[in-house]
Amino acid sequence: MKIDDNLSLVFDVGACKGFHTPISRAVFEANFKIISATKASLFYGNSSAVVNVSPVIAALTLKDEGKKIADSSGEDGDGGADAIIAEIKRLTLIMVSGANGWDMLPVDAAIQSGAMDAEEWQEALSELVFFTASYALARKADRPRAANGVCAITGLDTTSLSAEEFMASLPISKKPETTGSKAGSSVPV
Amino acid sequence: MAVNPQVSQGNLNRVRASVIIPAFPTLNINSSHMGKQFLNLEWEEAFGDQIETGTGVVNSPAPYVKGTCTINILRSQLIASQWQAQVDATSIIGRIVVHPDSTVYPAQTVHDCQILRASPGRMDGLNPTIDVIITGVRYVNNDLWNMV
Repeated sequence: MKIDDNLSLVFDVGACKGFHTPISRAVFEANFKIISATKASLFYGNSSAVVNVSPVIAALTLKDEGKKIADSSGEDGDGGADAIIAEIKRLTLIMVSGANGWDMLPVDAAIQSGAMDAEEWQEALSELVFFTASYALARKADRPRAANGVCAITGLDTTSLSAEEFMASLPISKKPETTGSKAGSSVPV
Repeated sequence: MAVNPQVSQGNLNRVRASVIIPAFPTLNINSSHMGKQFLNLEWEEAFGDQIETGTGVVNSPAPYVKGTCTINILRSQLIASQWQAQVDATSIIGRIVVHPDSTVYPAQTVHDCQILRASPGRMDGLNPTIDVIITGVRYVNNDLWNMV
């Protein structure tokens, strides 16, 4: 698949499909310290650990590195870790299969609806943090390779479709119908 | 004496209110990015007309109504610049889905949306928000199409 600037990620989470748009350049520039520290920590060690462990602990590593950054500057905070996690969550849509086809929900609404649980989201989040650390720090020319590398060892996949196009491509188990109950006609019969 | 049935009145969760823009996910807004007024969605037209006759009314349902969504976005966050960049590129943003502050009230979909206004507002150091006004349509009375 050709990967261009419109790259997005799709993944399975619980019984749902996830759609994630990578963070913008502006967000990366505002948070480059914690993202680069997270990548350095995740990719330290042998390749087996990177493949098998790093995608699972990426979100925890992000929080850990954020704490270190806050501590080193004498601040009492998370070093911006929660802000990045909130941004990744904001840029992620969850597609849930319902009676009238697929619905597109924010992450929190999808968890509240019971379509997926918080633990399933945490697993997906960790893989998205792993992707963000790899992809955001790669040179533009190397991003396709970085994205493919991450997708090869996680449950993520790339797509150049928009969220609407991706949702339209998902199979539906029931033919969509017009909604609304019938009201009595005012026309005398 | 009548007995108070004490039916639960439910709860509101104001931080649940959010807007997703499927065609442009970088514009998605949740409660962390909004001012105290959060967001407002109004259907501005009637769902149909009742045309008076000599002895009654003729009902004429509308196939769509126009709506306006006003989002109170924080100018102090990067998200506000995303919306300004969107206006620079194109103000047409397609479908938006508004998730309300109640878990039992359904999400509202507004089709064919356009950013109508996104003025930066007063910059006196006391106002951290801008109002982004989006207009679009909601398709209603879908059973009309079954009667063609």
